[in-house]
Amino acid sequence: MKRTNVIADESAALDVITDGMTIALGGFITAQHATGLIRGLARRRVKDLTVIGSVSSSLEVDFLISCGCIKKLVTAYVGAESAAPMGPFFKQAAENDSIQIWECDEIIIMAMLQATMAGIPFYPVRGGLGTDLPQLNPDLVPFKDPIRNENLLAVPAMKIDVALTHASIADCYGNVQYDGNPYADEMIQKAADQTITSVEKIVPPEFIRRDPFKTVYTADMVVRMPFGAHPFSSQGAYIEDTAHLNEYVMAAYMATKGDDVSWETYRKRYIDEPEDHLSYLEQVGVKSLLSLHEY
Amino acid sequence: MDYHIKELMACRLSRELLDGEAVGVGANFPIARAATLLAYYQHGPNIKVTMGAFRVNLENADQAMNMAFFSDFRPVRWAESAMNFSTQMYSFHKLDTFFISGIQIDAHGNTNLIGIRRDDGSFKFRGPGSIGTTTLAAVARRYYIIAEHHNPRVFVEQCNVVSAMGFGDGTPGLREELNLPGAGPKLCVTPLGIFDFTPDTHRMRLHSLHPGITLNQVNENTGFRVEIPDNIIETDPPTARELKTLRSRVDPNGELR
Repeated sequence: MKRTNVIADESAALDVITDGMTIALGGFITAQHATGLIRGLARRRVKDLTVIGSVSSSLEVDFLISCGCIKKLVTAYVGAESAAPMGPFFKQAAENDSIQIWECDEIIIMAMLQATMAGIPFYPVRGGLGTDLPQLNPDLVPFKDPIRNENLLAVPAMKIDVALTHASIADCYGNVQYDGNPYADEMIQKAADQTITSVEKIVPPEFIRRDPFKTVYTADMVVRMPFGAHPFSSQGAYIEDTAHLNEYVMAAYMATKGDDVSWETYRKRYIDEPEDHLSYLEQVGVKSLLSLHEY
Repeated sequence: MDYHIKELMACRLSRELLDGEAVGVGANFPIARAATLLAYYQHGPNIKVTMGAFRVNLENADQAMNMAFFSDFRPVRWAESAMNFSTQMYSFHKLDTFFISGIQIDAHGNTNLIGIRRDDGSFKFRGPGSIGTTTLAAVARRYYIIAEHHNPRVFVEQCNVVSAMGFGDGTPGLREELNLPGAGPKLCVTPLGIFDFTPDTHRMRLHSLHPGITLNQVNENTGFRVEIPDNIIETDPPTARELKTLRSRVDPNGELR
């Protein structure tokens, strides 16, 4: 019997994620999100997702909200820093109460992942005591620890169906390596029941074995997606597309102020009409994509 | 000498940072980043400087870069190591200091990045989220509050939502009682002045007024009663040497101007 090749095409990967699931997104703020796959979920209007936007998330969560995909959101931040202090649709949804927000900070998310990957009921943290977080998020439970009798906050584990991450390279057996910081992707992968990773490039297994210390985890499914993190950066490959981030933010912001025109145009052009990731890249254009270099 | 108020804030803060300290700088926070790099160049060659997720050595960097995004990977050219998220986040209690801001800052140094609620609990105004501040404020050895705007909307008697605890309601010993290892906010730095906290009830107290600012301006722009000391001093403005380093090496693009 032959070892299984885990390379999947985009639509097979998206088929894994169905209404009502809990998914965890990798990357960190404006870097290394599996934006191509996440855009696919938005296009398909997958519903009622619980989304863990770890550890701090960005506009990929914002457009999922806009497309009605998110029921519950676990995140410490939704925004694009200097391009947008916060995601416009996130702000609107929070103010309309149209999504449920599991209030936390980054360390609380990591504690949740820690508990989940260790298979234990909770992981303790100190941050949050004396704040309003336990009131806003009743899942965070203050308790006295049995060893030193100190005040701590218990962060419960969470069942995570699928992790979606983006990395630099992987081989056909799902061994994933990063040309840079994997952020919290390793914890996310270890906490999730299964992991789908989009990569800039698929490499031969021999290339992975050349430096096995660089392998961060083994994904269950690998999707080849060059520029898969766009408009965010992918370390060692391309920087953030600031012009595109600004285009998004402007359109989304106007939409939350009641003027839908630019957002409708954006959504049609970049989310709904491209049938797959390569068609999306065609919309962005070769010139834009290839200008996202370091110097 | 001509300087922008944000330059003064960065220079004043840089004097607080001691050689050898581990300093955390978060996302999209130009004053904090400038203060840290300035301290490193002026008097702190052993300050553990981070740029985004990198620990960097800027000894031979003529100019540091401005960073629009925390995850910008270009500081890798100066990096000695990279932050390991899986371990770093649990060892923030080893951080000597960091900087925090808020959509609200209250009389006892609590801050709010979450939002402002109506009476029924729903959000009238939603903020960006806590990022890492809830934990950092609890565990880092000390920290500084930076406000880019000083007005009664930001400076309130009590935060509508507390996302990072300063001194709670000011009860003496509250942080110890909650077993929070950090000492809490040391100073609050605003465009009008520098504020500390009274030793007993931890209420915000004027420490110094920036040159040209009056006590009236502070009182009019603060939504609570600020404690006023007997002697009001003036904030030392940036020195020529500080400004030179700031403009040539730390903030060459003039982000603070």
